[in-house]
Amino acid sequence: MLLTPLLFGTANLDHIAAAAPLEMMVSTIGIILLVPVFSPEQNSEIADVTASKYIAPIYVYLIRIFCSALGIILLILIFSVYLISSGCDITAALVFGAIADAMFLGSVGLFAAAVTNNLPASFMASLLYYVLNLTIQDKLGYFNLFAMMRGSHAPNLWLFMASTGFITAAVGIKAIQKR
Amino acid sequence: MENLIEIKNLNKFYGKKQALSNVSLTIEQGMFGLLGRNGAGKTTLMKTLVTLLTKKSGSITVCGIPIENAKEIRKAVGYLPQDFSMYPTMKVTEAMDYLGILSGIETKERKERIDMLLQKVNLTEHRNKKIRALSGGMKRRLGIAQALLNDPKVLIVDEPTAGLDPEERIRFRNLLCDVAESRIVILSTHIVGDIEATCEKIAILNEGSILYHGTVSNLLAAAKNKVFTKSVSQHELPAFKKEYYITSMHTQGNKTQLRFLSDLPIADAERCEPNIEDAYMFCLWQHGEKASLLGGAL
Amino acid sequence: MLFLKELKKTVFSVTFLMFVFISIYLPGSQDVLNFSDPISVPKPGEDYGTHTKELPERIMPFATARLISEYEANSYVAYPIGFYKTVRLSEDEQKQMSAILSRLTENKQLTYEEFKACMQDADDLIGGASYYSESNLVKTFGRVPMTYEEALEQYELSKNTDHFTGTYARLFCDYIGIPLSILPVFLAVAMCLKDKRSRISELIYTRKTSSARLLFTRFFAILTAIMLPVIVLSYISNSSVWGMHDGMALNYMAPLNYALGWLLPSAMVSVAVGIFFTELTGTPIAIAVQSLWWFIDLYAGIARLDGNYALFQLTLRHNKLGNTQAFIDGFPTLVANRLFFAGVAIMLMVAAVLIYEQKRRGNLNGFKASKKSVMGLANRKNKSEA
Repeated sequence: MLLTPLLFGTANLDHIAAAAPLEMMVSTIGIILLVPVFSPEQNSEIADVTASKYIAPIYVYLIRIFCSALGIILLILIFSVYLISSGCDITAALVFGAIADAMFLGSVGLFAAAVTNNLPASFMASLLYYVLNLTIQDKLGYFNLFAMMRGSHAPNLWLFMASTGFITAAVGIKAIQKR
Repeated sequence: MENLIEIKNLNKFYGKKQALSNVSLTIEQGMFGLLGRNGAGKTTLMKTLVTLLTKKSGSITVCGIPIENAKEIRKAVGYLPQDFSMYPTMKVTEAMDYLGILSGIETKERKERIDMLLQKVNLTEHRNKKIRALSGGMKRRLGIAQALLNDPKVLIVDEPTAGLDPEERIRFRNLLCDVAESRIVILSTHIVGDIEATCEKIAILNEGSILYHGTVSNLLAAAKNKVFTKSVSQHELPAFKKEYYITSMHTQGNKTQLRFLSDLPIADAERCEPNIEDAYMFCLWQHGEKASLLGGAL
Repeated sequence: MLFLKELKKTVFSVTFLMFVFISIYLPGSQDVLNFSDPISVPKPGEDYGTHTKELPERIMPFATARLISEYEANSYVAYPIGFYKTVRLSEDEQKQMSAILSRLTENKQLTYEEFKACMQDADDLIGGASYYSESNLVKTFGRVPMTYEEALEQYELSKNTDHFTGTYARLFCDYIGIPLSILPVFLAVAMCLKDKRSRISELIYTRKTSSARLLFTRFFAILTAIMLPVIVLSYISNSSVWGMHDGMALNYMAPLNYALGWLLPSAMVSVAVGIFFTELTGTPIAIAVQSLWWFIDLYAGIARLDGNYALFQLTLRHNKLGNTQAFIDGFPTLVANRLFFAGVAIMLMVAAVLIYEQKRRGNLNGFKASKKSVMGLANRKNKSEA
């Protein structure tokens, strides 16, 4: 994220151009913050110990996911404030879109983590989706991460809903695995 | 080469904390027990012997090989760590094969040794099971088998019986005794019963120093006439606990039967033969550990 | 033997399955697994497409006109790291731009050098990567139709230097090289973390095998697992054009040569970064390191899409069928580049071996040691309270 201004140039962007750093760079923090949520329990013994505690692991996961989501929102807000201060045209829809992008990218990896229990593979899943957006953007429809750069805000809500769906599914799978 | 481990003035630090101080030991063929509390330095000493840790000062030779020559040492020793596992998705034989290759054993010899060792540790019928499907006891036995793959002159096992049920434990001890017929086996434990059943020679480690080094019978002899039993009532118990180190307690109705250590005979107390647990406690007690032992039970 | 075991470990893993899936899917989606347009002899009177040429008499008026229209709209197009954006200048900056424009239009005897200096100033004002930057000027305004002679020359080069197959192999490499510079890091990280997760490390540490042998075997096992499907794919891709060039002298080794010469060094770097950082830290940080490198390299490379190689470019690009002249011109750089990256990979592996050897002797436990000592202190405190 610190590199973003260097890579993109962040002065005086209109609301289409300002979408580029938000969608392309800032959204990747979702991967960093969300994907490793289950990783402390990768070791099966730690998983057994935590599972035996009074608080069900699901609540622990939910709290961690909530913290990560909060982190994503905060970081994106901070970055948006920075963009505004350097004269960019940032709208609320743009910020929401960036949050939705980050959440979606992260939740894809989180879901993969729940299924495979393999951290590198989970990062790979998120990365794959990111790369798909670079290559076959047009076929992704409402799940196009980089739509705002083309002036479309339609995917924002879809992405956000889908990310909550993936997170729910991931936690659900974890809950079933525990039994 | 003679089967002999010589450790002279070994020192080891973790940061500023001294984990081993001036440890000198000579270990001969057969079973050798390392006794001590958690954190006494047993694991550190063992890891140093298998080249997993480097020493600060002192010298070690294993069967004539200086410890600095890690490659030769690794050829000569087998090690079973306290906490270990293997790739969960591999089958028992696959895992053994993998570790055998890493030990540099030729294909034909490797196959034979794996068959022989699995037989020895009673895992032949589980040879095609995945590692993750093994029970704790089976995993331990597999651990011994993998440590013996390279037919080592020295076998080092760290707390091997922790977490095993009594039956598995006895089986495991017997296995170790069997193995020790032709090599040095060093066994660490804080379970005194393990030592009693298997080892003739032992060393007691406490806070990184050797408190005792010698035979079990000498250890017992040292505690002779220092162990007593006495029956006290409930209200006398707290005061008694403060004054003497109690090695065991047995409550029956209002009275409690105590077993405790004392340098001098006590009125109404009956002298008794020390067992190895008493002797171990006595050894700790003798070496300035009186304060910390008083008032606390095992 | 060890090699086969490590290969098996790599191949039977989720990460490898995903790798295979991605490396089939991505080139497939870009239509480079099944080429449909053959390279044919140009006939007089055809449209031969365009190419770029540095023609001042053409570039100067076009670029100036474009700058004036962008100035009037106060909306400047720029492609930093390859993505379209429009830049709006502040009032003050617009004044400076107006000064540049008058320099351009008022001097009738403007030389090409002076013109380029003005354009550089304009580019700086916009923030770089505009149409007026040095590399974009020619690319944007110097595009001219190819003549018959030029087209014929291109064809001859494809025929004699590339034997046709080479140019297709290069295009395939252009696409597959992108995932191949990043995906291997996942396999390497997974492989190294597996030891830690399975708690088998100490059992391996106390074996006779040397650290160099173990790590380099793993390195080559991962590379083999990666390169085999890539070579197969590149032959699938390449064979799709064999039928179209019946009777010509084709180089059937081209896909293999390109896979090993062009692609392998990128994959080596990716694997080595994975092994090095995972052994150093015991965490998957290598994924972040390699992703960042790949990301920056990828976008920086967009400026060199059609065969303009740079020495420190991890993923080489040649996103154009033909353009053999650029390949010939850039060949020395390309060789130096590939040797450099192969060297970097080997150096990282040597460093990884040294780290592994230290870990094996208990001298370097990184985070673990510091964590343990903190825990130890905490425990002691608890004990004294109890």
